Amino acid sequence: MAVLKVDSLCKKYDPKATEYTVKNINFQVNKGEIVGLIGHNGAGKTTILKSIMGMYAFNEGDVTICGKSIKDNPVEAKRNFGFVTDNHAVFLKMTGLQYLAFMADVYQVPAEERQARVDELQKIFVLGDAINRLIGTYSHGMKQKICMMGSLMHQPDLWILDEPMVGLDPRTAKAVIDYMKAYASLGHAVLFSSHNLDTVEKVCDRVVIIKKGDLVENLDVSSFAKTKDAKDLEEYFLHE
Amino acid sequence: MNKARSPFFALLSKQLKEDFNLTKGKKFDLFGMLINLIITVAVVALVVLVFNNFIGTYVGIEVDRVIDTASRQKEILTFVYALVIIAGVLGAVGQISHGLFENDDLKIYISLPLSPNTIVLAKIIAVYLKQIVTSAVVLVPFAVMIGMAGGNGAMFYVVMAVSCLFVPVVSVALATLLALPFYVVKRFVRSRFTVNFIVTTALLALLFWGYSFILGLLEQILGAGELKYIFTAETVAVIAGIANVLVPATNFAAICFGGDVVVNVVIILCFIMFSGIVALLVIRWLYTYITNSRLTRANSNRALKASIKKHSIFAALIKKEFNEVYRSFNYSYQYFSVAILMPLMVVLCTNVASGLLTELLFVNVNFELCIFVIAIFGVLTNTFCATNISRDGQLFMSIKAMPIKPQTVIYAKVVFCMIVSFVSELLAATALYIFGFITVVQAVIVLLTGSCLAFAQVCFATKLDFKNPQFSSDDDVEIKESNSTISSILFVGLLIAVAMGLLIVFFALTSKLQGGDSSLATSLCSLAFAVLVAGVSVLYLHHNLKKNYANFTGDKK
Repeated sequence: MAVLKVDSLCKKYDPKATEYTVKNINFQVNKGEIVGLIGHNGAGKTTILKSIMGMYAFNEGDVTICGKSIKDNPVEAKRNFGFVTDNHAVFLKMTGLQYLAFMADVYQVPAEERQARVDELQKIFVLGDAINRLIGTYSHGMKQKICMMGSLMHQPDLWILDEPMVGLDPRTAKAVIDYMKAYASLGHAVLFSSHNLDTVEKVCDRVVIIKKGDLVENLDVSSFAKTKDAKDLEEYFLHE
Repeated sequence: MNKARSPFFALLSKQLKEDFNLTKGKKFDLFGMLINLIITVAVVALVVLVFNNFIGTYVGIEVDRVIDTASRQKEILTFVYALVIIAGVLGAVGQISHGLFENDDLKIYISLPLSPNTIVLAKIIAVYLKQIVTSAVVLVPFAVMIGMAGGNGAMFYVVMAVSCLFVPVVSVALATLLALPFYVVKRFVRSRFTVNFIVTTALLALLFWGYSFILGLLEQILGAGELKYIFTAETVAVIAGIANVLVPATNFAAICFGGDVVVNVVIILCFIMFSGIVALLVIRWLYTYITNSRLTRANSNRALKASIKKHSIFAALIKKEFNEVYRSFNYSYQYFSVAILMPLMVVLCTNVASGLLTELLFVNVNFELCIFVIAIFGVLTNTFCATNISRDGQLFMSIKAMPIKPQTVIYAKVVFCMIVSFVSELLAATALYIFGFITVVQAVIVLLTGSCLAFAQVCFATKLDFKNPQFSSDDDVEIKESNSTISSILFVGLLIAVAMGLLIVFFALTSKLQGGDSSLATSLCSLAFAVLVAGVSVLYLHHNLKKNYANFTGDKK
């Protein structure tokens, strides 16, 4: 069953421009699936992700999340995903715990479940006592961790991450990869963009390749080696 | 090909372009410049109006039946120089502390092949050049007033003009010495939010007290007409004694009147050299240490208590706004401190205006005056709301991706501002009632009128900022400089408040001078006007809100 359905998505930043920044993007992410979005710098990955999340209005097409259109029913659609942006924009004047409480309020997480979720996320992302400090005092990696924790407070059906591995130490990066797999195995879906093709190949069930605003491939990773004439995803991507 | 500039001139030029808002690609804030110009001209005009009379009287004072014009001129000039130096030091301490220890460009400079000397010197020279402008704005009008009162020759004006270049040297030298302790205290205070709030509020209260003292003095000077009797021989002797010890202000004044030029120049030079050299040595010595410590330990690592209790989305957003403002050094001061002290300013200004009108025209229009004053101070307090959206920076885009209705996001900001504004107006109205300017019913009308105007301003400011957000590129996303939205809101807000206030005061005066009483009519008219403006502002805020929110990208239009 599709958790995310991107249907003929077209977006241009300048209304007068004749060319679209991303054009006619079609793909879907099903329950239990991890999908990687890859492409060179400026290919349009972030534009697609931000359009999916409702940050950017798009010109044509539609995006449905758990059957709710982001265009027609944005609030309902947004309830079904958690997100981590590439710039780690997070409230610097809140403590880590206050941020998690804020996210729990926004996504209306039941009061009795909140502490258990914080404890569970602490086990995975290991912020320790820093959770009681202002986020403004955090390092880049710690900000990334608190963003991820916040995005998972409401256990969304779809977890969207833009360049999630940037700034993470190897241990946390592995923990995130493991958690993505575990999260998907529980029936949730994960969509993330990355430049790290090795990680994408290891984690993802499918890979969507974007080139100059076009979706050029929607590959099944398990059958990739049989269908394409390339040693691995990196060779294929660079050759393409 | 452009000729290569030395690193010092490259840094200085960059600093000056930033300070004077001349950076390429940056939107020129015409409103801001106009407002600054108008305010400066108005203040200078007021100062000239008041002090011209005072100086004329003071230089003509007889001590032991002798009029000693030169001595009186020197005393006044000493105090003017002292005031300019003190004001210069206060301004320069903040500028140097920000430039040397807090500015984000240090992160780049520290890794470039630039010596601390070059960076320190470029930043301090930039502060000095700005100080020349501010010193001249004060010194030139006083030079003209004092010179005309004593009939001084051209040499006096030439020396005064030249002193505009040297007085800032003293201010900057002293400020350089004080900038480091100031930064250390500021750093200590800024991570302790309550202490920060109390300290900044207390300092602002002190400033307002000083302002009220000057206002009181002005009222006395304008109203009394008995200045000569205040300055007895004993008083003048005390003033002369104080003026003589105000080094180096007294030396600057002495040079202007041609007394012991060499000795005074040497004293001033020694003063500058001593404080300048000590300050430069200390800063140079500690600069790298401070910069590194700032980069690695930006804030206190103190743990803060927090709960994970459930709130509504609206309450969570208001709490977020509160934390953002209360825990930011600049915002807390700009908003909460100003809002809390607004009642004090309203009472002081009403007192002065009421006293003047009663003395000059023998009529009591306190009620109308209260509406006028509260409207003006409401505008000044609510200017902060012109960064309601910009304050969030890129976080506003993250909020957009959350399941929150656009109205909830925007109205949480408006309500937060209105809570602060309403409390401030309530305190002001209560204070006006307690000090006997108005009755309870009038206080309620003043509060309602002020609150409606404040609400209108908050709505307009939020919508304008929403249409033209200007996100900070600093790591802390704090907005540290004025922008065109702030200037526009201030300009239009003041225009409406002044027009409305003058109109109702004028009607009240005319009516009372003719033996009538238009209080009921003016109060109803002003309240109706305020309600109307508030209504229009809500419509403006709501207009296309959903569509605009969906299309919001954070880019400037």
